[in-house]
Amino acid sequence: MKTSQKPSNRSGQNAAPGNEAASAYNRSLIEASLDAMVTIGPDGRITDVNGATESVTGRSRTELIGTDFSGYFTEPAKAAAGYQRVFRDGQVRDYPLEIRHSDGHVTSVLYNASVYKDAEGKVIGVFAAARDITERKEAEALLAKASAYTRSLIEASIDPLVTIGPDGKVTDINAATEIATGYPRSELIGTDFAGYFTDPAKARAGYQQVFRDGQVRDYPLEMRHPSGKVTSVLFNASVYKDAEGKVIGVFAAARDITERKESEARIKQQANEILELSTPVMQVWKGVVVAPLIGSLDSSRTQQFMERLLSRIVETNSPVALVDIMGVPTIDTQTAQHLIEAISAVKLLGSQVVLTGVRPAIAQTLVHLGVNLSDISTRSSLAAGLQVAFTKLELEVVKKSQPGRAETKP
Amino acid sequence: MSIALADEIRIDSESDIVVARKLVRDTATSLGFGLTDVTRIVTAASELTRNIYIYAGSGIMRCRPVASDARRGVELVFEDKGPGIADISKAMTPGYTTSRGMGMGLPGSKRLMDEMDLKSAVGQGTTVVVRKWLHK
Repeated sequence: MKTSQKPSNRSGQNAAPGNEAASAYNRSLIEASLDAMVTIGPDGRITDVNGATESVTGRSRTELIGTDFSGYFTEPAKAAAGYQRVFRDGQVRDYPLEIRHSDGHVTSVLYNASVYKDAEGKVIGVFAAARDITERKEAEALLAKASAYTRSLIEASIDPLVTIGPDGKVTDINAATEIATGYPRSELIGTDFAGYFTDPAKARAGYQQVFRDGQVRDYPLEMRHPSGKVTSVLFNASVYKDAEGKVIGVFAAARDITERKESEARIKQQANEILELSTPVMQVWKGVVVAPLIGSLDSSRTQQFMERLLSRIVETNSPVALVDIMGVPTIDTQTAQHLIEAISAVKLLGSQVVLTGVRPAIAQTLVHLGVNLSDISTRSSLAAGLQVAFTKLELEVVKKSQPGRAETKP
Repeated sequence: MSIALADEIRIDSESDIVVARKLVRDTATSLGFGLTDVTRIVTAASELTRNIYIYAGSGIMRCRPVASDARRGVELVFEDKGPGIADISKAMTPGYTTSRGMGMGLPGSKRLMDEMDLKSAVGQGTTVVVRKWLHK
C-alpha cells in the first residue's frame, strides 16, 4: 500500500517521513491481525512474529525469535515438512497443524504460507499466517455427534427406512431394511428400489407419486425376501431437500402389517364360515315356524334365508313365522330392508311374521336411522312372539297341575 | 392394540364390512362406550362402509380414538375414489337414493353420530368423517 502521498504532520521532522510512516502502518496491520503470523528463515528459525503468535504460543516475541519454528507444534516433523514445502513450491494453503501453548493447551490451525523475497528477487524466508479453527473443529465434532445420534435413531427403527434417488436407486437404508429384504447394505445401495417388491411397477409408481406430490401415505406394497417370504408393508414417504430447497430424494418408511393382514384374513374367513352356516327354519308348533337369525345379514345370506323361510312356511302350512333377530349384532338400513322384504314376501303367502328378539339398543338405533317398522309386528323376546302366534292360532297353554281350572268351568 | 394409531380397513367386498364393523365395535367398546352407543356407532360404520362398497366399489375406513378439550371419543373416516356425490344436500335427504336402498344411510348415520363432515367431488371420490363423543 502506498501511503507516501499522504501527508503526515506528526512525523514531519524525520528525514524520510513517508517510508517510516508506511512501515509503521503496515506493522500495525500485522499486529492487529487475529491470525498468528510468523516469518521463518531458510534454517527454520523464527525471524519475526506478531502479537497473535505471542498469544497462541504463550511466549513473548523475544522468546520466540531465533528459535526453531517446528518446536511449537504437537507434530514438529509435520511443521518442518510444511515450511520446507513452502520453500520448495513457493506456497502452501490450509496446511493443518496444532500449536502447543506454553500452558499445554493445543490450538488447531490451518496455515497459509508463501515465500518472500528481497529487492533482487531472492527468497529470504517464509511468511506464514495461521487461522485458529478450534471453534470450527468443535462445531464439526458436535455436528458429527448429532449426526451419529440421528443415525443411531434411524438404525434403531424397527420400520425399514430407505432413501431413493430421482433415478429410483436406493441411496441409503437402515438395519431393518437389511432384515426385511435379506440383503446387506452394500448390496442394496445403488440398486433399483422397485426390484425388492412382488409388484415392481406398483413400487415404481409409488416413489414417482412421492416425487410428484411430495408425499404418500399408507402405500401398500409387498417386500420379497430371497427366502421367498413376502412381507406386507404400508409405506409412508416424503421428499427430502438440500439446503437450497431442491428435492434430492425420497425418504420412505415401511410398516410391517403382516400380522394385521393375517388377522384380517382370519376374520374374513370366519365371517365367510358364519355366512355358510345354514339358516335353520324350524317348526315349533303346528302352524308356527321359527327362524333364528345369527350374525350379519348380507345380501347373499338374506336371499338364502328368504327362500328357506318361504318354502318352510308353505311346507308346514304355517300361518305364523317368528323371525328372531336376537343374534344379529347390527341392523343397518340394508339389513332392515332385507328383513322388510322377507316379511312382505311372507305376507304375500297369507302368513304373518312376528319379529322377535328386538334388543333395546337395536330398537333405538333403528329409530335414529329412520327405519319404519310400524307395519311389522314386533316383540322383544321369542317367548312373547310365541304368545302372539298362539293367540292368532287361538291356542292356549294350560298348566297340567291346575286340574281345578277345568272343573271351575261349567 | 395401539391407542394413537388409526386402524385401517380396506373395503373391497361385502365381507370387509363385517371386518370393519368388528374393528369399530372393539374400538368403541374399549373406549368405554355403552351398549346403545356402540350399536349406533357400529351401525353408522356399517352404513358408510356399505356406501363405499355399493357406490365406489372399494375404499378404506380408518378408525381411531380422538380427544378434544376434555372430551374423548371415536373418529371414523371413510374414503373412496368413487364417482362422488353430485348433490350432497339431496344425498342427505331421507328417502333419496340412487341405488335400490332405503335412502336412509347418510341422514341416518348423521343422526346416529354426534358429528359428520362430508366432502365429495364428482369423479374424484368421497370422504366422510364421523365422530361420537363419550358423554359425561
